[in-house]
Amino acid sequence: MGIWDSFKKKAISRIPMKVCMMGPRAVGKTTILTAIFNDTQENIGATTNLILKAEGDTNTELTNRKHQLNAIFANLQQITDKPAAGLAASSTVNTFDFVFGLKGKEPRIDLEIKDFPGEYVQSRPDEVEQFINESSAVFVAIDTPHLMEEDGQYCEVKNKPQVITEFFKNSLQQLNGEKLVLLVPLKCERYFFEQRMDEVLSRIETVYSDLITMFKQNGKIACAVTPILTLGGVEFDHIMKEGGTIPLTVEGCPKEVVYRFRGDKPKYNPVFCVQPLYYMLSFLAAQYGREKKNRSILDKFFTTIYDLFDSDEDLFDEILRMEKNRKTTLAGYNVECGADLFKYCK
Amino acid sequence: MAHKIIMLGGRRSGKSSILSSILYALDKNTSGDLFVVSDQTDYSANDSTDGVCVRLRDKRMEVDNYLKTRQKVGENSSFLVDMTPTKGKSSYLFRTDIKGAAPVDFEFVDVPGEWMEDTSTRHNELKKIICESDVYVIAIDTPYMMQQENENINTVYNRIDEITSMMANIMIDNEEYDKKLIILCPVKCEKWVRHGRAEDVATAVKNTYRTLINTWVNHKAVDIWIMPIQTIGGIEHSKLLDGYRLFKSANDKFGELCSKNELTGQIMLKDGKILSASSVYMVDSEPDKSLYFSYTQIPLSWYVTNGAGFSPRFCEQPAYHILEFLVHKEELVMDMKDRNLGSGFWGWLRRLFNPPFGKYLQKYQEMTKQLEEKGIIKKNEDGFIHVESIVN
Repeated sequence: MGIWDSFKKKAISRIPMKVCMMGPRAVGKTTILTAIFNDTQENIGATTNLILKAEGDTNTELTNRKHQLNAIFANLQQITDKPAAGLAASSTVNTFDFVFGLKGKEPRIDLEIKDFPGEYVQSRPDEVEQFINESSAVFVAIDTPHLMEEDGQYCEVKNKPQVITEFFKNSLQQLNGEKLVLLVPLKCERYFFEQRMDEVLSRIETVYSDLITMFKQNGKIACAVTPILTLGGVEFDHIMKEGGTIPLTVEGCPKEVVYRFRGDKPKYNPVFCVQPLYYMLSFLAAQYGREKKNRSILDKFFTTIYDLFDSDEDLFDEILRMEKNRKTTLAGYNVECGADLFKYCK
Repeated sequence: MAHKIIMLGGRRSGKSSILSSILYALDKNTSGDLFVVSDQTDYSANDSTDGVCVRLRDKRMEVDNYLKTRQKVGENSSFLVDMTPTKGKSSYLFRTDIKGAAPVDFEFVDVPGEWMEDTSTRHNELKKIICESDVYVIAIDTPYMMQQENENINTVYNRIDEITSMMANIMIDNEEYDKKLIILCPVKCEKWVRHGRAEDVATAVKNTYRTLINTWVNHKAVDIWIMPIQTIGGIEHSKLLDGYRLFKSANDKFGELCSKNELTGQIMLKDGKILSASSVYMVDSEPDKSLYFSYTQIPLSWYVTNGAGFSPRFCEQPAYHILEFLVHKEELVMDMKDRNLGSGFWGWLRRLFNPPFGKYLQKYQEMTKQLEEKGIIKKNEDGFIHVESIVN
């Protein structure tokens, strides 16, 4: 390592990396991030030299939620999704802070995940668009029971696929380069254990077909469907009916969606939740490989994630090694477009 | 400069008991021709900064006397132990003396579990201590770990998530010589270890600390051990029961903690006395909310005596392992300095800023070699495990 490299490595202490999360209200974003964090911490900890840490309030919030979920499982408390009651439902933007780097070293990446509720995408699209421009990836959370049950008639009001499609239609032109968009079906335990994930994938490809087509035509978007099991030991049971009809909220969502525990001793056991991070890092590494050849001198004045990869080969090598953990053949998984954008070329 | 060793664990998990028993066991079990250990802690400094700090020798005497009293009461009654946790951060200074060498100090930093919470004002101070330390001793309250009823009781009581997060802050300068030692130390494990179930304890440690172990086990610079130690010997865990508040009269505003015998409905007091439910003024119908943390009612851990008296076992072992580890680490550091700085003027100058063993390193090498050769350092059996692979 030359003197310049060494100086640069010291100068670039931390690089910000942003992820935009979009999805319905009351889908349990903190629960999703708790699952992603715990599963990621466990998986990358065991298989790579990388480490992910939750910072400050985020750590407190995620630890707290994990204990709450463990308690729900231990006490076999009935789990229902009641948007009217609005547990954790919020129309405000939540921010979650993580740091990421090599084990035993100062973290090199500040990972900021901002959660924009569906309503926000409609009411303040400019703000969302600006954050997406600054982001490495967009995660679109999809409530799977609303997608799959009752012929999917509540999917639009819950998951707002048209709102999201419309948003991207208007903002895609403004986006400043390649982006990764992950469609992340949640709460899909029942369909996973009933081996119906192909059905989930197919339904997503139908409901989000305009969006996916738009991404395919754009050419700068890599889009994949990456289902996760956020709880593991709980699955959808039924949508509550009264007198044969489904009571609805003012917005038109079912008032109560009921879940059931799986087996006699169900456990809080998130599965596949590390995959979104693997996808994102693989995409970034490949993007780095493509762009480093084309960077102008002007680009080099701005500190970016690529400067970090330039200066910290150990970190970059570890991220490249991690690529083998990214799964494309899991049930319900599919890269819809931009598969080449994940391929790293020296 | 003293070697810094950090003690982590839940509230009342037994951190100061470990130190007290290490001191006692080293004193009792280590031959004077190997080394002599003494407690050089400045207790007045500890008290003034963070509240009252337990004198380690007093703690040992207290336990010894308590056991004698209990034996008079009889072996059948269940009681609670040590409900008063150490307050604030405490630093304990142990000094080892070996013939022909200057004394070497070891600073054990016992931090309160609350510091591990991100909302604590002392959280960043703890992060800094984690970065500066080479050895991490994690006290595990075994009865809470071994119960099967509710995983959260163990997670919350032993602060497993907070410890795992905190240990993510370990800093390793160079993996060739900047070694770190993690000792997972189940205490209050007499019930299992004395009855041939030490391996069950070790397995439970592996499973419950899986994320922590898996994060560090394959790192070249990190060594992980499981060492169940019996800090008392003469008491065994009996059962976990919810804590209730007992009021002895209408004027009793605070009440005292008790449990209810599940079969007889009798009221169990912390000193082992039994009251019939009809003879007390009132017992709350719901478990005591002061024992409710993170969505979980933490039960009280009841103990019985087993007739063995004050008879700690294996408590000197963490100290032997720490000593052996630190001597080896310093060998590696000195090798690195020799390689990188040579033996010239700069090498000599750099050596002036020596690590703690310094010019007596060779004496300590000889001493740890003797510990090894005489089989004094326990490497296996009784639940002692060098963790070397991923836990599935």
